[in-house]
Amino acid sequence: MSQSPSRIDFRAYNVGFGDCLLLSFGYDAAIDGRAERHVLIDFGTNKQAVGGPSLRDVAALIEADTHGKLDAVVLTHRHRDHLSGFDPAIGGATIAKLRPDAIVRPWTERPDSAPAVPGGHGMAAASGPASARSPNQQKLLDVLGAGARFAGELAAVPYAGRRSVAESSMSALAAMQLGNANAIAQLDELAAAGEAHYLKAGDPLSLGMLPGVSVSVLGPPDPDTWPAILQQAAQSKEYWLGAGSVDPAALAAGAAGSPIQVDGDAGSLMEPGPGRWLIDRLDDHLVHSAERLVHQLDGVLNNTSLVLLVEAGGHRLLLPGDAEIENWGYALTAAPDHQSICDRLRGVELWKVGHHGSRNATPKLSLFPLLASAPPNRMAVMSTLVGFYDKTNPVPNQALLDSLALPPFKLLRTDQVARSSGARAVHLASSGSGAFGPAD
Amino acid sequence: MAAGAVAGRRVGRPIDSVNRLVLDCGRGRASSGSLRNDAAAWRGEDPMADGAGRPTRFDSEPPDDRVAGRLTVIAQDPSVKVSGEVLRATITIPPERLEPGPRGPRFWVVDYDSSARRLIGPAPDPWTDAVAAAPDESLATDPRVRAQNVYVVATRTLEAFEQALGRRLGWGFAGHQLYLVPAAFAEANAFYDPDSSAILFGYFEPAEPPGGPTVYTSLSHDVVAHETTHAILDGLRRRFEEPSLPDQAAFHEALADIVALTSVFSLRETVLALIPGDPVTGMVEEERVTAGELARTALLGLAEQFGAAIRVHGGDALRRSVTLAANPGLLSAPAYQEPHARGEVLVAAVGNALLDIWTKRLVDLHATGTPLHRTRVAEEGIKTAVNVLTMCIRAIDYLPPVDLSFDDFATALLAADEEMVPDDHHGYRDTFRASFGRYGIGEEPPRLVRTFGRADAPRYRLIHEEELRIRRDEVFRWIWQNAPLLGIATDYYLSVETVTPCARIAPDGFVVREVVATYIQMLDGTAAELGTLAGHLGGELVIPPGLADDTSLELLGGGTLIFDEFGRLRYHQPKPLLDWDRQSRRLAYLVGNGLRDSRGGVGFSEGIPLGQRFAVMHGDRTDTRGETW
Repeated sequence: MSQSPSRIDFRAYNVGFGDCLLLSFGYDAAIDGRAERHVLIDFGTNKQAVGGPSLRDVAALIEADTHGKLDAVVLTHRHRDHLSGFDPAIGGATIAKLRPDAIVRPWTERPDSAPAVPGGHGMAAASGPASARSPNQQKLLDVLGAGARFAGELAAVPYAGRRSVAESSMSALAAMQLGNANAIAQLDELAAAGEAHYLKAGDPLSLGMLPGVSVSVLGPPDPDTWPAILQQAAQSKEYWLGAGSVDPAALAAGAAGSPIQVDGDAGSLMEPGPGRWLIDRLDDHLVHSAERLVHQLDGVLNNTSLVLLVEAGGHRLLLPGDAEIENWGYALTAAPDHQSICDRLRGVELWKVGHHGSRNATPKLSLFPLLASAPPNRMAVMSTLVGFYDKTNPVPNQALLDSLALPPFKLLRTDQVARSSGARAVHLASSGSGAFGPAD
Repeated sequence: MAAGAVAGRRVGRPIDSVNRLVLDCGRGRASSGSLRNDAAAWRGEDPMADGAGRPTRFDSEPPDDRVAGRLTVIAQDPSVKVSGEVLRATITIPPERLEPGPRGPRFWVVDYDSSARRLIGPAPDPWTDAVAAAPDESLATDPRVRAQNVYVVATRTLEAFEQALGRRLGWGFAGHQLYLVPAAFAEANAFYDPDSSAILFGYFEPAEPPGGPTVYTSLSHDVVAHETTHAILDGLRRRFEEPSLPDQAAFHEALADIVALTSVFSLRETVLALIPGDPVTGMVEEERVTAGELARTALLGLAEQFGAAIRVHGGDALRRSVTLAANPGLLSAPAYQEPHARGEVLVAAVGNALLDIWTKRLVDLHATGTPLHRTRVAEEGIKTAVNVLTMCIRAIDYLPPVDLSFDDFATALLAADEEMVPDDHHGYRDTFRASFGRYGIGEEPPRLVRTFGRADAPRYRLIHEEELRIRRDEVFRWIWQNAPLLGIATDYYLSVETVTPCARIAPDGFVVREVVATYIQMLDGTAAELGTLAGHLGGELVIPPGLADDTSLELLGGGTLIFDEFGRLRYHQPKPLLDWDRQSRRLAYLVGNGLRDSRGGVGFSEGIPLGQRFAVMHGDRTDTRGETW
């Protein structure tokens, strides 16, 4: 079967702050009774767009758009905003009904190697064999597991009354790190029923159910061949796994926002001056410590993202999940075929902008110039929601948006398409060798 | 006699070092009532008050400015007890005006707990000995105890450095007072944070024993001395936090441990209490004071209560490093490439040198087969440890400013000691040399260039000695003039970073004023460019397999210059920028361990001082080198 797709449809559903992408291939003639193939890439949200569809609605849209059959499901990484829809109680049951033949996940999600996290992920891990993991791989898995446990405790800190901005931000970020046990179980179940792929950069991926479609895995790098991916993780492990990292109970105690209790005569310490300067610095210490750790975990987890380069019918599509700079570094600078990868990236026509348009998921010097070169009409799709993530470094990042407003890019944002047209997804299509454009 | 010989040995000491490092007698509470204020303290009275209960002196002045101020500390930590009581020691600190805190010219204790949002107002009179007055059961709960404990231990640690180096030392941050926060947060952690100009000490509920008393890191002598050392070393060598071979990061931990380890010896009563011996006669059999036996005493295994806390911070070399079996191949073993484990090797080498010198001194004190009095054992241990600590601290001035190796430290320690104490009749240097050798640490004489009296001596045309003592630009001018002689490659970035005048007492008893200056060099380029450059210069920069040609690299070099009282160069400790062997090893290590910046660049000077390491390690990536938006 050497048939190539003659039409490619790309939908980015407006899930709010999350990703839910449907990649559909149309063929001139039916193959095994169907002239179309569908791949779902991620299905989750951290915050639904106001007036946008719920994940249940999106599940129904997927069911309709796939005509009742999914061929493959990709989970780029296990952040809630890429995963939560797979919970059977939300959209997972619908996805299961679509009987995907293959479930594609990063190597860190292999059930026997995924860390056992209470209420989170990889329940099979507790009893699973250690299999053949290298120390570096195990180190990364340990960090992911310990980090998720820590995030779970932080997310559970009870707050009485108003939270400070830092506390809210820390707490929300902690909650985002939590996997959804039901969603993962659902994916594990689907994987057990069909093909299960657990991938890292350079791994071959053969999806026989997608004729004429080639998928290259650019990330995540193996920590053995790219130890840089471990840099944060290795150092953080000591802290997360240590006898006493940030104590969430103490955070809870400090979270009440109560006035500082002064025992005895504080002298000038409570008045403006150097002592007060120190107290002010220390006051936010715990929250900031916790927030730093959770940010770190967020980055480590983002860097487990699958980065896929899809080539079909003479077109190239780049689907980088939420991969951040450390993940990208390998494919762009160190992979044995990194020159060839860079050449192929220059020819990408449709690019899902990484990590909802954050500042550190589109390497400005090493990746962006490749994407900014020809061809003239490069479609950049951003699945995002303004005002949700990280008040210090807002997502989407304005400087990135500004650059994407210039040729050769044509930027389409899920939040803006929905607002302007009421559409429930950014929907692009290409027929034959024609360029991608708004679908009919 | 041995004591006299000891006193004679340390003839070359800095001004004012005399014996203040051998601190005043401490005394365990179990000992019979010689603590000056014991009786009053137990009665809960202010021992310094007169009969009417009025303070007899000004609040912030020491009791008597003719003598050093004496205050009590917890000798090790609250878990170390003798006869069921927490071991304490009274030590001597400069008799300075203190404000409530305590707050003196170099340290300021602020007892703010960010976890509980609770500020403890300081006791009005810092010279009232709160630790002596507190019963054991309130040591952990009395805020005055932890405030005094951190202040006194930190002050004494700084004093040890200043005495050994013969000058005042600045911090690695702007400002003169380092904040000490004795119960900063509920974490099993303590760290130096130059951003806050502070050392933050955490507290935590111990995992073992469950339900045990809250553990305050600020009550551990070792933790306080360890963290204070990080702060002091950061002030002395800012660039020891640059990406380098593992020795450099390991040295920071090792020195902090060595200081904590040896400074406990300055607490005489503590040493006495922890040396085995007959409780009645005080005699100890000679087989119990061998190096192996002494290594197992509490003296050489520190911070028992805080093992977990220190491990979190990474300084676990303190545990019982001296028992690390000597093996010259240790530093090549994969397990010792990690800086913390590696630091333990240096602590072991120094700790075993200490034990060897100590036990050698004991041999002279008694006939073979006869017991010794433990007071003598303790005295010899104290003298040895003080000398060892001083040797280690003095070595710092002789260290290169970048790319420090353990060999550099060994070289510097031996060179500095020879300068200060030419007559080494106790064989300290030979013992150190042997101990370093057993752990695979070598002296590298060629690196230490003696230029004094050489025919090809440096030139001083248009150099002004007074300027040379204080001015970076004059030192640069001098380097410029002598660059060919010193082997400094002037084609590359070159900057004098520090010029530090210092004074010491020479072996002949006269005051000697010297200058320690450091310079650094940097070279940036791609792997391909620097590889080619090395080839053009007749060397080879080995590019690790898999490192792309267009990877950005930064090479570091530099050196330390010591000028004598006439401005003549006496020592040059260089780390040549164009030492391709070192650069190749550094590159291999950094690449092999994934120590790149986020664009994949290797070796870039990030200028991140120690302590920020904590925040950086666990925090946002500060270096994205233009890749972020």
